[in-house]
Order: sequence, then C-alpha cells, then structure tokens
Amino acid sequence: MAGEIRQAQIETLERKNAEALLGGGKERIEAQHKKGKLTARERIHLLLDEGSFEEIGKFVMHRSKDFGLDKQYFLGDGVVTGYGTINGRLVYVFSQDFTVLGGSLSETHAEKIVKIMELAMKNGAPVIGLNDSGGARIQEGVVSLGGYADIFYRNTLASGVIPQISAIMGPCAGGAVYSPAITDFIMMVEDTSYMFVTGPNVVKTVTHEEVTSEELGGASTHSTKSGVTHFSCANEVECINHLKKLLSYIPQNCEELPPSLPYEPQGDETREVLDTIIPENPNQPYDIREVIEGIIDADSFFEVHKNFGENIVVGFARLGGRSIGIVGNQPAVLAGVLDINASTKAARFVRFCDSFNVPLLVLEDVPGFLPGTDQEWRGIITNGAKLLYAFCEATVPRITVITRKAYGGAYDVMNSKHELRLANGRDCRDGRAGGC
Amino acid sequence: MNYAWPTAEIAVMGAQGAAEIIFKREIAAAEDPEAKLAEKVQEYKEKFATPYRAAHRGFIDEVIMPHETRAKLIKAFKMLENKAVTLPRKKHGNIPL
Repeated sequence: MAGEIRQAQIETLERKNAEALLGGGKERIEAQHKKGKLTARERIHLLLDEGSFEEIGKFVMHRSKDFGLDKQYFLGDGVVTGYGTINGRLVYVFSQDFTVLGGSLSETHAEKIVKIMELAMKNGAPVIGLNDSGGARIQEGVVSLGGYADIFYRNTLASGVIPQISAIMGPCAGGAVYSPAITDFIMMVEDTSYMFVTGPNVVKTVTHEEVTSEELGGASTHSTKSGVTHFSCANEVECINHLKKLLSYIPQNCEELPPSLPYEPQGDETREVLDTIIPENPNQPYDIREVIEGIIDADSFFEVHKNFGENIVVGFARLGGRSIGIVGNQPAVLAGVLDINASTKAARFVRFCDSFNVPLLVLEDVPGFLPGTDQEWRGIITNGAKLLYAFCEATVPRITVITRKAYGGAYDVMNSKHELRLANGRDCRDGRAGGC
Repeated sequence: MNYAWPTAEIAVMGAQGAAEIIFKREIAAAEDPEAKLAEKVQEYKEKFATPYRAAHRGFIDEVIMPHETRAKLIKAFKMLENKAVTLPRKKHGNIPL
C-alpha cells in the first residue's frame, strides 16, 4: 500500500504544479492573449535563457479572509518570481500575472517580490520587474499598501547596488508606479501599458479634464512628454529584447565592471568620416549621432530616452569592445541648448553610469542654457545644477571631446576639466586622479 | 581627459553677443557702427572662438583632428581604466532635486 500513498503524494504535487502554471485559469489567459498581451510565464520564457528559470514561491497563497477572498485562492498569488540567466548571467525576476485577480498586489504577492529583491542584493545580480497589475488588492486594505512600501524600501536600498529594470506590460497605476520610478530604467509597451498616479476617471472628477489612459500615461506620453519611461517599445517581444540588450552593457552590481567584448586592434582606427561632419557655418546644425557612430564600434549605440529632451543624446555604446556611456549635445534640436528636460535626462544617465562603473564620453557642442520665463520659472537653475552635480561627483573615467561650441556656464556643466579637478581634492587616495 | 576639435569655440558666449557687450561704447561712437561691430566680432572670433585659449591653460589636454578621435579615445579609456578617486566622507550629498 506504501506505493499508493507515494503515488498520491506525487499526484498532489503534480496537480498543484499544473494549477500554479495556469495562473488565473484558461479563460483569463485567453482574455490576456486577446488583448495582445503575453502571460507572466510566457514573458519569463522569452526573457531568460532556455530552461534556466527556477521558480521561488510557486505555491504561495494570500491570507485574506475578507470580501469573499476566503473563497478565491490562486497558487502563486498573482506574481511569478524566481531567478535564471540572460546570456549566461544571473538575474532575478518577478512577473506579475494579470490573470490572477488582475495582478493585484496583496501582502503575500509583495512578500514574494521582496524575497527575490533581497536575494538579488545579497548575491549581487540585477532585478527585473515585469509589471502588469491593476494595483493594490483593495480587499486587503492597508496590508496591501504596506506591501508596496516594503517593495519601495528595497528599491531604494538596492539603488546603486544592483541594476533594477522595470518593464511595464499592462496597467501600473496609483502607488504601484513608484517602484518602477525608483528603478534605474523603465520600458513601456505601446498601446497595452500605461502608468499614472490617478486614472482618467479621477482626473475628470478633480480637474474636469477628459483624457484617455493612453494620452494620460501611455508609452508615447511617457517617452516624449514626461520622460518617465526610458524606452517605448512596439510590442512585448521588442521590449524584452531591448531589456536583454541593455543588460549587455552593464555590470551585475556596483562592485563589478561592465562586461567587455574582445577587442583586437585592427591597426588603423582612423575615421575620415568625422572630418566632414561639422559644417563650415557655425550656426548650421548637424546630427550628433553621426559623430557618435563615427567614433564607436559599428552598430553598438543603444540610445536611452530617445524621444525625450532630444536636444541632448544619451546612451550606451562600445568603444574598442569596452562599454561606455555617451552624453552628447544635439545641435540638430534647439541648437543643442541645455534646458530642464535635457539636464535632468543627462544627469540621471550620468548618475547611473557612475553608480555602475560605466566610463563616460561627453561630446560637447552647446551654445548655452535655454533662455526665457518658462525655463526660469520652472527652475532651470536647480535642474541645470543636477547635471553639474552629477558630473562633478562622478568618479568613473570621463573624457570630453568639444566638437564645436562650448559657451558660458554650459561649458562648465558639460564635464569640463574643472569639474574633473574637483575630484582631485584632499581625499584623493593616491593623486592619480589628476585631470582624469 | 578633455579634447577639442579644431572647430571648437570655447568662450563665454558667441562672438556677436560678446562683441556687442565688450565694445558697446566703441561701436556706438564709431562713424559706421555696423562695420565696427563686424570688425570687433571678427577680432573676438579670432581671439576666443578657438580651442587654443583653453589649450594654453591646460583646460583642454589636446586639440585633435576629428579622424583621430576614435583612436585617441580607445587609448585614453584604457589609460584611465584603473582610475581611483575617493570623495570626501559623508553620509550622502544633497543633489539639488
């Protein structure tokens, strides 16, 4: 009879495993697909190296008894968590499952996320969040809110320790937006994702504005107007591919160097194409991307915040196989002037690169700061200072190439020699930093 | 490291604006103010709208031809790869948020 008992035990495990894999059930999975969205597990499958995913907390269930939740249990509780590899490198991942109670965040759902975040910090590997959640699990009240706060706290502690990347692949509203906001990079999927603090209904009640979810907080809004998202992707597959590419430029944690590709000097690194980019007339624009492409390894530029603050261009690239971060004024847009958006965009990028040991290349052609009441009243002074501060505090190798204009205070801000000298103060360990 | 291309103009402002401020009286007093302004703009351009003032001071380490840039940068980043800088001890700074 022992055989039968063992058989029953095995069947129980198999049944539970199968149940967990189904999330909110077949109907809801179909509904998810109809919206053009993948399921939480399908996304993980695309993201990680084949067969590398190991799940943690598959059988976790919520503890709520109120409002009928005692009759609704789902194994995993609306989020799939675990670890795996991307191009052979360890990552931790959580993927919210919209098919389970709308992916709503419960106390236990949050605990699962916190658990992998803590593992990621202890073991020094990136955390990737695939967000698709209706928000707090209202039935749980403050316990759910507490769950959010627990996550925000870990996001903050992990900031600058391990890379944190958020992909928004569905709704992300209310308090939920603040976890991605603290992470290093946000990616949004066009048409199926949105982020806002309050949705269109509340907006209408409070301000009488009529606005759609897409207009208020869709991928195009946040990639052009607000700058909340760093990347806007045509679909989920493109989003996941972008995420993998991003990881290829950055290290696992703040104590490691970014991965280098092998570099065999080809002999001649001369690039004649660079000699003809700058127009004779100093007021004529050109595209700084041409300069970038002319300098870096072929096809290695990975632009960040492409459609926001377009008067400055930032992104990762490879130079002789080495991963670098590039900040370049863009003379083709507003003559490359520095304004609030350009300053905050570049400042955040510089902070990321410095946190994670990515050397910086600055390509400078800047006529100054954008004049006017709009900029002054919105605080170009404070915001411009962010970029200045970010460069001054950065200790990674930093190189500036002035291609044309370097005027006024903007000259100082754009990684000038003087900022580099600040790092050569009394606390300089061995004096090697002089001027680098 | 700080490089500049020969096309670099490192100055407090563009030549036109600078000349208008610095030579305001001289231009106003001239028989032909426009010609005077043009002359002063040219003077300012030659003096300041170049990378050489900055290079004389060492604010620019080297003025390089654009086609050399890639090779120079590859070498310089390699030279800097063991860079070590220590910032003053503090709890954390107060970046102007």
